[in-house]
Amino acid sequence: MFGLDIPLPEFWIAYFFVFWVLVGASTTPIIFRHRGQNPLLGALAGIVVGAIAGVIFLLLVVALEPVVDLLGQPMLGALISLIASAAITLALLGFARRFVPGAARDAAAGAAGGPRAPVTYSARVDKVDPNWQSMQSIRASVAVMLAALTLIPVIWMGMTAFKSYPDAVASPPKVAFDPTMEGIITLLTRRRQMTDAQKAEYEATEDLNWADKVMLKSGQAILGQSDYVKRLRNSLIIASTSTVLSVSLGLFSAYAFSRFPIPGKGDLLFFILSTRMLPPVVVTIPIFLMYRELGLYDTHIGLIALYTAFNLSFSVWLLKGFIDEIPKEYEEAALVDGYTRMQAFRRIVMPEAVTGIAATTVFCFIFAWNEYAFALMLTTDKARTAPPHIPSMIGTGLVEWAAIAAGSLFFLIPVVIVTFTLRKYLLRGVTFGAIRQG
Amino acid sequence: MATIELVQVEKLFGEMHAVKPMDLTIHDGEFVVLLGPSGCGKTTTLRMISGLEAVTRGRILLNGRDVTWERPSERDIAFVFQFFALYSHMSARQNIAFPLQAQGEAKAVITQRVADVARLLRIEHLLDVRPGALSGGDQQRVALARALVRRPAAFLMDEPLGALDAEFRETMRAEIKRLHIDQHATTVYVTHDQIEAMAMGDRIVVMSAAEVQQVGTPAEVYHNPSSLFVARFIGSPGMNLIQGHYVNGVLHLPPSNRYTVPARWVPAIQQVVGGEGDVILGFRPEAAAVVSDGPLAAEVYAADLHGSYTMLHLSLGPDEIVHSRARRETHYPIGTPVRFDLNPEMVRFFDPQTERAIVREGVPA
Ligand SMILES: Nc1ncnc2c1ncn2[C@@H]1O[C@H](COP(=O)(O)OP(=O)(O)OP(=O)(O)O)[C@@H](O)[C@H]1O
Ligand SMILES: [Mg+2]
Repeated sequence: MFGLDIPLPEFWIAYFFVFWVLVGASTTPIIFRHRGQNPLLGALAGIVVGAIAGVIFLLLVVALEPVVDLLGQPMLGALISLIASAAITLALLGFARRFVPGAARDAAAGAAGGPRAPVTYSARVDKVDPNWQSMQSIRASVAVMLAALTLIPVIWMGMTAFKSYPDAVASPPKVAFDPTMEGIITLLTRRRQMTDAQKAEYEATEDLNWADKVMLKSGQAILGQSDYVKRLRNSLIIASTSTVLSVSLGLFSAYAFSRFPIPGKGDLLFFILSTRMLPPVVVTIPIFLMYRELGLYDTHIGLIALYTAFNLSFSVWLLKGFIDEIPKEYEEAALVDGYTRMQAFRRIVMPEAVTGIAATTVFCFIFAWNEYAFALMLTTDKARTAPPHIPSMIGTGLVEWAAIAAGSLFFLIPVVIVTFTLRKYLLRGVTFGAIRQG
Repeated sequence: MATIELVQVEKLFGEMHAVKPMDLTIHDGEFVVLLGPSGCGKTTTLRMISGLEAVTRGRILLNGRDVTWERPSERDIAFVFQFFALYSHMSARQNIAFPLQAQGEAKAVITQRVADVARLLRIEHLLDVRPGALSGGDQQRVALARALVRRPAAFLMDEPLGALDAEFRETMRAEIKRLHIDQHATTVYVTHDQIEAMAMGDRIVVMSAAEVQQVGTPAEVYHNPSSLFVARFIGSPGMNLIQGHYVNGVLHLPPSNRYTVPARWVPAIQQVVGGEGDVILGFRPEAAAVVSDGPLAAEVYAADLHGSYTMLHLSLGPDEIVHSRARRETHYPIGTPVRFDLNPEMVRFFDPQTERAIVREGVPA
């Protein structure tokens, strides 16, 4: 990259470089503001300083290489050189702050220190310190870069979905490519390969839509819808129905367990929990035989019932925790005010437990949506869901990577939607019943 | 408006008596306070009246109608809970409107009545705030508003001031009393604070260990406690109680005092103990006055100034301390021997065996 023999692949060079630019751009404005300079100017300066820091960092990694080699442990050596380089670069950055013009503090504030501008927002004393704020920015940069790292496979998948076959299998992998809808159309349709003669004839027909034209380029004619749409629909029907069932049944049972003196309550709750103690895969064969006898094999109802049963233990226990937190006086107040127990449940208990309901919904949905083993064993066609279908697309011969990537991408969308819609409840929900009593 | 009648109402939780059979009639428009130490069954009694707790035995009558087995929602009684039980997902306005929605009132009526009750309790500016953001006192007002807005036949309040600080309790105490006088609604109010009970109640029901000890006006339970428990529980400090030995009109008290029993008490005492026997003498601090020629001798143990008066602690023996309320300027060094006298109108006697008051004609139990 810089004509240097850097012991890092290009990707990591770019990655670390971006990290340092981020650090520079986010911390320097803080220092500028503290010194009474224009923070916008600081942002500009920060990008430059960050870029320089990035170069210094990479040079340090190179310089440290012979030292690290002495260790004879490549992984450990790389780690040590990265940490040492980062520390030195940070120290240099900290030193560079001295050159930002302007008085550090108000003369009036004197030795006591303190920011230039009055603190008109809510903050702990140490959080007003520019050093602390800079550290916070650096931590945020680290978090952003780590998040980016985990997102790379997903982004790669998204890119592959729009690649043509040669681009998808190109080596080295292509980052820049001509996007095409081929993969998505391949995923959603059944096609026939045409000879040149057939192709000319096909081309002459008038009523070709844009999808037909896209596929014509690779000599394929669209025959109809593929199975994938059916599989995705099955997934949607089965996952959402079983989620609604397990959450609503779970809610009623959790309420009963929480509020009424049920004989053998403890044993029943333990029994419900114990259904979780066995890895579900252990019972695939018995369930398979049972389902075949009962006529539930390859039916929607079969999978819905199974997923509901699996999720129910989880949903009862999770929701019971949330309902226990709601004081029983809440419903009693509604009861004396003229409501029935059912109305009190709907108008008081459910809204008060909404956090728990949301968290349970997301967990149940994700389980049912992702479930692979039972879907594979208990379905063939009519009720087959997307998870066992996607790998089967690999098939034999030519692997349509773009179509598989597109299939996985579409598969992600419902989970993302559900999680995003319910996210404001989740933060409180996953801390498990952290609702304070009023 | 309503009268509430409890006939031999009793509650068992398993083997444990939470409320022993009790009879109580609460008249229309009356403010009755259930008073007693923690765990004596006050809340359970209140919950049985509201229907939140089923009675084990006995009957509950509302305006003469037997409601023992009617649902809470059919009884037309409002309940104010100790910790308010405001719905956190609703604004104050929605909380107050909630009971009216159950009755299927028209929107306009609900708006009007919520506005009225909000004005009454001075919470108009808080109507759109959620309970979580309100101070304890304002939460209390919203809870009261939610009860008042229904115009129910009766109010049940379970330690509604228990969660407030001392200063605020007094304000709210006056406010609730004032509301009661204006609305004249039958109210049953639970507290374990005897000062609150004395200040607010038309009548007080003193309970202890699942049993009703005494029912009476504040003056009655104060001056004529029916048992040692009530004598100790009411008043701060409670009634002075000294065990003595009664022999023919004279009560021998420790260490070597002789107190001549007022003549009109003699027959009643002799009826209980005969010519000779143990009797407990009881008197309120304000019934004892230090006078140079008093019949009883004691030593000053401590004296504390309470602002408007001085409380003298007089020691009659190693374990016998009595309290005497004296003028503010009174000052005795510790250890001073003094003599004191008792106001004969204000002495009471108890039987140490039964712990009940000895009753004489003209002084009701
Ligand atoms: N649901 C219940 N199950 C079993 N025992 C109960 C139940 N509710 C109350 N008790 C018991 O009944 C007794 C009376 O309780 P209650 O709540 O009526 O007392 P309280 O006078 O209101 O006391 P506090 O002043 O502490 O509120 C207590 O010993 C209590 O533990
Ligand atoms: Mg109570």
